[in-house]
Amino acid sequence: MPLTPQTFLILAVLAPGCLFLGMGLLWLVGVNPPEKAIARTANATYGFVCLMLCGLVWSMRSAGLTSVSAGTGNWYAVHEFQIPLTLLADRLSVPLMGLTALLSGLVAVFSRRYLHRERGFFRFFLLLHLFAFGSLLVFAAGSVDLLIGGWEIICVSSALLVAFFHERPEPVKSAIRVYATYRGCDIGIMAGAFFLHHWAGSTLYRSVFPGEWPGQSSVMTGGGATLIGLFLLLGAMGKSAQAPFSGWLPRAMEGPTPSSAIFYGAISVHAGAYLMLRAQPLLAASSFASGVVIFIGACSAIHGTMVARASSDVKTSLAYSSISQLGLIFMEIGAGFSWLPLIHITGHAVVRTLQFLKAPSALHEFHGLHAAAGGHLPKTGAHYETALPAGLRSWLYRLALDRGHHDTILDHVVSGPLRKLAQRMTSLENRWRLSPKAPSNEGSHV
Amino acid sequence: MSDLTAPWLTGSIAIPLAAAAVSRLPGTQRHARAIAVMACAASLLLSLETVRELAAAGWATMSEPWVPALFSANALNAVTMALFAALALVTLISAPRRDIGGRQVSTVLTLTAGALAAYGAGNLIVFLGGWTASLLPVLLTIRDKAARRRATLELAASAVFLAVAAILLTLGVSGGYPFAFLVLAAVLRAGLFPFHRVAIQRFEDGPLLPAGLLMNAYLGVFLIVRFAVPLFPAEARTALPWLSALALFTAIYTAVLGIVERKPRRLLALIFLSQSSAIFAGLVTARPEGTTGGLVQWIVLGVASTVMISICRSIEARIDEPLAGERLLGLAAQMPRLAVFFAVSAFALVGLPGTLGFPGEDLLIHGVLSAHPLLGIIVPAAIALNAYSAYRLFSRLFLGAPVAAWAEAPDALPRERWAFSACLAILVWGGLMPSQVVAMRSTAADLLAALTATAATHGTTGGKH
Repeated sequence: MPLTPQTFLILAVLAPGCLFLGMGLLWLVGVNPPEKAIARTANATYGFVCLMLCGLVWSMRSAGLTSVSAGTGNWYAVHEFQIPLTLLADRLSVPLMGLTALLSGLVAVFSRRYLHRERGFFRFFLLLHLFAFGSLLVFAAGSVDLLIGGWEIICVSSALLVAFFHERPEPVKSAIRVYATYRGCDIGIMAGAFFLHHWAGSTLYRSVFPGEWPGQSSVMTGGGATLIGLFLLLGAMGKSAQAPFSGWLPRAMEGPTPSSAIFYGAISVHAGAYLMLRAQPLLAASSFASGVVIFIGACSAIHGTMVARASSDVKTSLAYSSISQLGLIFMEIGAGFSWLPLIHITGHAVVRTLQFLKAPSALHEFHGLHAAAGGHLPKTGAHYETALPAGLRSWLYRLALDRGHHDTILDHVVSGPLRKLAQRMTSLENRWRLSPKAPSNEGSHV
Repeated sequence: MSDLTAPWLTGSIAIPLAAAAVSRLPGTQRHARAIAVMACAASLLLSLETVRELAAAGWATMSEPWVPALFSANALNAVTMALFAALALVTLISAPRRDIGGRQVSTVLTLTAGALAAYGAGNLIVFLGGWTASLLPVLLTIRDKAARRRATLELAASAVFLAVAAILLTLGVSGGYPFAFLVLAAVLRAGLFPFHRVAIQRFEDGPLLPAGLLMNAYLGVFLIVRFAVPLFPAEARTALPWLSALALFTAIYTAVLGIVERKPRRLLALIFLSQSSAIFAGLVTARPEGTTGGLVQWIVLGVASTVMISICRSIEARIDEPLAGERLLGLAAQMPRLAVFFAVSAFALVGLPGTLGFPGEDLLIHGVLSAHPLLGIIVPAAIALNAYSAYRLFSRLFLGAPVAAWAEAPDALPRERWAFSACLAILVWGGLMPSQVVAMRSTAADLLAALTATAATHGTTGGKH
């Protein structure tokens, strides 16, 4: 096989997916590999992915390329409707792919000891590989359609990992909430992809956003750009836990700490920001959509920092700090910056992963830090708090304690009415039931 | 129209029918599963041979050599027949021992033969025969008298409507009346609103495995695309958007009902009804991607729902009580493989990437949104709600603290493992390399479009059928 940039790109993306399939098949035929083998295979795979990405960067630089497309024609096609199987490596996707490979490998190394003798050790690694594959696919996708593929894989692996400790009911409930939020917001990205296809004739980035990142333009302008931009924003808000869809993020912390680090500190939550960065030419063509992105980002940033300060447990505090930083990233994207949000994403992901991985020993570290400083360190941001009137501070504190009432609002506006409607419809259905007692035939004799 | 090299179609229908009769004979009870499995395997092989011959002939329509007037094979029905025979085979292999007595086996085999006859039918009279044969055995298994009476009434009405349409066509009556009867029959059989309750009741009160198999036949939508549209293109042009809208309404209505449903059997029925209504909407869009998406999702829904239904029934048999209540059953600890089979099937049903559900859903959404840019948003919304319901059902069955009383319940038995693995292999292989399946179903979509176009050009009213 010739070592072209395309080869490096394809191998880097496929490696975790192949490992997932291989491990899944092994389990299905009854083979349960030992922990050491699972961990070593994971390390070798992420080492291999990092190596392939280094090869990709080296070969691109040697050839003087700023972007590389690797495709095998159409994945499937029906007459003019074609879904090409195209991967794209450019200045936006390569850093994020590198980040994914590096942090996934790091989490794999950490988890070997953290989850030692845990009943779900194999399951955790299986889902980690699925997640890594989905993330690499999101960042390397050359079209919105392929991005949706990776997007949904992240969604499923995320929900299954939140329910990792499924013997307790809380993680199960939280996983259902996470999955529902993801799937609800994904309607936006699906509709966005459809309208992009419908109006621009393609969802390939190269066709709809001609040029090289970050100086791309958009073939869509006006109302079309606004509508598609807003649909994609809805999808991104769900994935990046932007207000008012931020309530799922602290619930997702029910999963094991390493998965919280990689999903909700590092990669998964930044996928939404990546989507907005990718769709930035659309935002540039629509000042309204840009304004909405900035507004959502600003609301999320303020909301996140307030709730993080009022949180009493470390993982919730970290989750809301992530939301706050993501809000800032959204604002940067809406304001038209390209490199700044990319650097912000990279830096934030690395720092947050470290914080999440250290979360179980946070108290110990906190006391150690204060002892080393010779007393109590001053609380950051306290000068802003003192500038506010006491009444407002109390009100804001109550607001922050209830996490901005976002879950309550969503329950009142979306899920509550839907549930109420469903209950009314069900009671109406029950009135029409064909049989009043409705016993189960099989149930009576099983 | 050329002939098949041998009467494969007649064979694939006659073998399960004969096996159904044999399995009712005294002394064959002990071998009922073996007889049924062999009959369905033979039927599947013959259907696959039909597909092979059709593919070799460039998917041109071919007729049965012995009875050309009764049966014919084309790109639409040949694959569908093979799929249905395969689903019946999986159902029979994975069925719990208590569901595999002579009477139950006979029900499944008669249903299979009836559905295959309806698919292969070259005219409406034969289709009517298959339609009725597939329906009767399942109705007879509903034990609750009131439920059976109502279900029989509604489903018999569909057969009567179909019979009236056939008589009107034979008499040479053209225009709206025969078309209206065909549509009514299809709506009743497909369980579109307000007739969805019959299907739900079948799932709740009747035996689960035949109920699932009956739903997977999709004879209602098959009637529309195979007969109603090609026979009455002018009427279809007017009616299809309304029919599509009704299907979309049913998809979202049943999806919304699903979010508060607590009984697993009813929830299964609601999810499948919603998904099948979305398929209905896609198939009647008259858009290539919508029709192809509908046909691909037909395969996905058939395979995934068969696995899910079979697993639910297996669980009922293992825990020795019907699935009910709101508690988490926590079966993943005892049955990890069944949990994985169920999860993959459920996620495939709602478009998990890496399974055939992803391209199917993608094509379906694009097709319906192209046809109805505003109303079409219902499809992704209904799929999202179904995804929520399916995940909730998975959580209910498999997550939670293990129950001590079920600690001895076995995981997937070897026969179940093989059958479900084959289903998953189809879903995953189709998802990783969907081009072949999509191209095959696209040929069927083209055939439907060509039939409609030809009929519209010649202004036929279906007298020849």
